[in-house]
Amino acid sequence: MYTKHRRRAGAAPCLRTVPIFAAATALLLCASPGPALFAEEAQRPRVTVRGAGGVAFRVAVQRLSAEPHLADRVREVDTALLGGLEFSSLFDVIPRDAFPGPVLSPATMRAPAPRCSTWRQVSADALLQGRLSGSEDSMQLEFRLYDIARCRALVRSKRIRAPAAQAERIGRRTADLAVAAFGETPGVADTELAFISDRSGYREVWVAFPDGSAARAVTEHQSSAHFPGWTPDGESLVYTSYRYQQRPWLFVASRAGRRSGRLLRGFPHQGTQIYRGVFAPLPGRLALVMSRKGASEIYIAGRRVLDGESTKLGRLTRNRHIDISPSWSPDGSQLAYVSDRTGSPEIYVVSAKGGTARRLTFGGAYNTAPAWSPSGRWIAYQTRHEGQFDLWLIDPEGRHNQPLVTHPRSDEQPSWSPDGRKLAFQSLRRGRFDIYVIDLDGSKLRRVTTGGSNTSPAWGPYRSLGGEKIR
Amino acid sequence: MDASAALWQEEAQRSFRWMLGLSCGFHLLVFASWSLAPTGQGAFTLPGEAVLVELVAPLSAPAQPLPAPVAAAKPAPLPPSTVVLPETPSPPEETRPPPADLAELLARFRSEAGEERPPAEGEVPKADAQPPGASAAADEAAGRVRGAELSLKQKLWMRNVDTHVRLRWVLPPELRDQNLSADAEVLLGATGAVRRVTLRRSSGNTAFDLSVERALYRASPLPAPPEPGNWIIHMVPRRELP
Repeated sequence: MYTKHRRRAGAAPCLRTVPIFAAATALLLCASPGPALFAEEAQRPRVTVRGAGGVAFRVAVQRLSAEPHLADRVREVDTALLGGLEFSSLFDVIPRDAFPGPVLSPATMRAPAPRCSTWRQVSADALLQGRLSGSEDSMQLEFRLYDIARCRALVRSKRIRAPAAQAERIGRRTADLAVAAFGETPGVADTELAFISDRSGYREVWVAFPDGSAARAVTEHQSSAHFPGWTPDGESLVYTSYRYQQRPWLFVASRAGRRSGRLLRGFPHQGTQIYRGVFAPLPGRLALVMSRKGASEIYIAGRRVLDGESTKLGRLTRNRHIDISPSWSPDGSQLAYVSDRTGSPEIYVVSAKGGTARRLTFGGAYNTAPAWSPSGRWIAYQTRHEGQFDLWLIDPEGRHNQPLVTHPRSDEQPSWSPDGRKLAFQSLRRGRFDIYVIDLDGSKLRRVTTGGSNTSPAWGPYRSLGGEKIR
Repeated sequence: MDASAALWQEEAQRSFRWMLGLSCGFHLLVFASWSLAPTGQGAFTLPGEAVLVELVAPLSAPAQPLPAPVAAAKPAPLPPSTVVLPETPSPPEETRPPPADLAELLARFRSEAGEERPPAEGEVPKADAQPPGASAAADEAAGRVRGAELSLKQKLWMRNVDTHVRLRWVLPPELRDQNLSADAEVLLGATGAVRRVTLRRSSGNTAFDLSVERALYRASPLPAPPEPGNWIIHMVPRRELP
């Protein structure tokens, strides 16, 4: 009874004060400037920022931590990592003098999260930390990546495993993954560029990283090779060579250069010449530039033809004029190619199933070498101007046509990087042909070949590393 | 006559005398005040403001702008109580051309009397120089001017923000060409420090949204805003070469 009475006695004042407090609160809310401020903020004009003019993110890469027996390997990985980040054009690497050394112990990745305010003092937008471990045969890099501007971890822990012989690829792959974390697609530092070089005395197929390092010959035919291209998995190269009966035929070679052989062996070759083969982005189809007792035409070889079970080709063009240089659209549904049916070479687009071709270029009298971008948005091509070639971009509908590379000397044979951010091309600007790489906005032009004449660049697709694909 | 009637008559006579005296006193007071009150123009000193109002009103919209008085030639202003317009203007200087119109004449009078230049057309006069009847209109005009100043300030700030953020917005080329845009709400301090960025409208592309957020944090501090608080920033990559 006492408790009950006490509760009642205590509840009454509370109940009485509730409306008072409610009224006071309502009065305060009405009298406070809050609603007025909200209304004022709602009436504020919207600020529009038009254009992304930033050049690159500044990334701080702390010296990789490693077990003592991997001291040599860690330098190799580190150099490749920094080079890959710079090559991406998305990052500027901050010199290491500006910040402290490794914070990760060789044994563990457990280091405290970085203080963003500290790293902002060196204008860092990103911070990369990593630890290399493993044996002499196999290595693993575990890294983490922070977005300092937003103060968030983009990659908390990612492991990349590879044979020790591919230590450089570990660094490049790390750089490509960092690019993917800050952009939409991975970088291309770990891809390869094929080209034709005569630096050995013969026109052979060579392969190098896209910055030109680690160049090596894939073929040793001591003949004349032309038009290298990649299989969709990036493990093999298809090219044209004259080593078979001194006439052009297709060959395939592994990118390591261990195996090579003639393609389409069972094909009737009497009076037939195959000038070029271009694999579709999706496996199973090969576009052929071939002539049978007449002008060159474009054919499609299906999987059964490639497997040697059939010799039946699909014919894409049928006329008395020259049709060459096929380039697949990224989805494999269309091809761009060059035809001189109007009297001069122009670029046409046709469905991969055949049908009527649509003329794409009308400006200029000599437009060749179309290359469809991986995004499908653009077709790069070369156009002749005052006797020299420039590189232009045109959209597949032909509405937008704009120059990309113009130089008094000739720039030819564009080839897209798999991320669509760069183009490789051959240029005569130093008096002989060399391979150059340029960003799509026309910046960061760099020459990637030295020695001999280097032509016909073909940028390879993304490759797997340690059995793991990057995308 | 009985005693009560006599008393009533005596009382009535006393009241009459009292009322008569009161009436005479009142009339004497009225007469005295009328006769002793000052008469003539010189006895009234009109306040300077009243003179200003009467003269400014018809002259505030001359066809030609009033010449600005020379600051060095302006005498020290006199106290308002001593401001009296001279009955005859001082003789003009020989080198000075005759006044073109009444407005110029008035300006010269004011300059010699130490008054400030009257407000030109469209210019908002000071509050203490306002005639009482025009105060509401003046307040409204002042409000318009304040609003215009704020708007101009905002426009300048918005342009500065555009330049400032644009230079810090890093966007991979494949994202520039997809016709994307996003709205972010940015909480700004008084000095322009970015305290918080919240995505209000997504572009539908995560990488693009993150780049917007990152660009706004990178751009901190922004140019100092007109008012601290939340601002909506609309981010559009320029349509150009991909």
